[in-house]
Amino acid sequence: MSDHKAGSEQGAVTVRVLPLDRSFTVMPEESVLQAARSSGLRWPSICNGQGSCTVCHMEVRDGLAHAGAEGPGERERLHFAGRRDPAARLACQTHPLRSITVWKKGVKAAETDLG
Amino acid sequence: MQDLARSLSSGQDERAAPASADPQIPTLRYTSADYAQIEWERMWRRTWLFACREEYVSSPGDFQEFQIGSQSILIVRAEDGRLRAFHNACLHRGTRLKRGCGKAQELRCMFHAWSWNLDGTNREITDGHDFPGVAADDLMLPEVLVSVWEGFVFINLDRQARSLEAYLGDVPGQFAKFRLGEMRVQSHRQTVVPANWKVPVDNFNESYHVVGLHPQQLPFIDDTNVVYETIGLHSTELCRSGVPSARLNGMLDEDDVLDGMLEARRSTYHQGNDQARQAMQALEALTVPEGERARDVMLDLKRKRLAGLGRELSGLSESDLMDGHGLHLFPNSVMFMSYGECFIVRTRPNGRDPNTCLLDLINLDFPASADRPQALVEIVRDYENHDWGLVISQDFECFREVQIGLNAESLKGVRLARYQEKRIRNMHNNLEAYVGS
Repeated sequence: MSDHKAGSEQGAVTVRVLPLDRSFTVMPEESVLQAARSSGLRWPSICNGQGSCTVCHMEVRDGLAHAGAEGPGERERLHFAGRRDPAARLACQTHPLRSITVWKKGVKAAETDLG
Repeated sequence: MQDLARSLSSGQDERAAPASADPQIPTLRYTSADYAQIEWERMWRRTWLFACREEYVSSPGDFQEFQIGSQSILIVRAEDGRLRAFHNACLHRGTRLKRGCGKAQELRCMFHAWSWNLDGTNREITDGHDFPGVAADDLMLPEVLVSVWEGFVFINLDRQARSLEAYLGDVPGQFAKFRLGEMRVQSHRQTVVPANWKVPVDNFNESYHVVGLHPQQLPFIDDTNVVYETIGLHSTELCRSGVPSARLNGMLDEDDVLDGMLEARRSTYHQGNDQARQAMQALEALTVPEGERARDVMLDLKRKRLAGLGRELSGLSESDLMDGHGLHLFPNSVMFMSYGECFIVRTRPNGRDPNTCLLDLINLDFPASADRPQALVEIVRDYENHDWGLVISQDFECFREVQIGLNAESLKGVRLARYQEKRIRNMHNNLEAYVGS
């Protein structure tokens, strides 16, 4: 398990992703999707950060209040894709202000052989 | 023009696709009232049209009204057991004889009480002596053609049209395995959609839009390897289910695929279906054993459910049970099925307005009980706020946006993908054969 720095509005924060149970650091200028990939994780996406495909969706299990402002049209896109839970966020649009825990199936270490 | 239409329906391949850089389908086909009028004169009056399911007119005395354009057609099960379809107008002063659906012993006009037997022969003229010279033959209710395929009742306003069997070509042979004739209506909803009748048909004639409209399906729908085929006037597609889209580049494992299917089942095509709810409960407890596929797990579940309904499954392939098999019946009916499930979308012109259409969404299944009450048609007046289920709601929301865009003065034509939208091209080529370019 990696360290869980509380972080601040100015510094890096930690995101813990379940069910894989891996943690990675998110720099202030990064989205969760970008940071995950930078740390060697495979995070499903098709539009690669445009906020349109919704494939990168995740559920914020802890720290929703610190997940940061929604991106332009993010909530509308989530609703259109049938994801109406307030805890649903797009990883490519989420810039957390503090450490959070998220649930996202399909996140794997980049070296995982899925056969 | 009729010979050309016949030759197109005899199994010839569609025309070679033009360069996809050039807009291929004029937008006025979707927006012009004049074009809609020509469609009426040259196409709607000369094609076999899906009118209703046979269970709506299963017993002598049952009747079902079918409206197409300005024409009201009355489909009746006569006392001899034969289906007939009449122009639904009293031969006195034209009053519509029956409205909607029901059961009757005679077809009696509400205005002056003239009446007809269910076979269309005249029964009574009120004060017949006041109509000297009117012969009984003059009072046969004018008929249109009626025929049935797999429980689908079709009518044709053209009394000289070729048979429904000839019109359908190879379709019956390809789709016999789904036993659509043994299925029953689970739900039937009707609404008005703010789009030309061809917009929904185009939509359901391709799965190219899954990545844009239905991204939640990508974990379990292989939208990149769909097999699209044309069979004369009609067309088919085969879309694999239970496998992830190649757009995800192998990022998902089998548990993720199953999870995606589980999410989708929570908002099923078959809203309120008891069988779907039971299937949902079973799904919640599922996992994918090591070395197996999510597809196998779902296949096993479906086989058990169908066996529980007494269905014989030998002779059915894995694909018949699991995958999405699409069928477009020219001009206006599209259906999507796997064995045991089928939904149909049928569109019709809404009066003379090319920017709206009547739309029917019908779900079929094998009922658990022969005593299940017949589903009634539900009229949905506010289609935008109705719960159609997630996928259908996503399609319906798009129709409005498409029609608005098609009316843009700057847009003279729409472009079609060479392969993934070949079914749309086939439909329009055949439409052109009837209507002209």
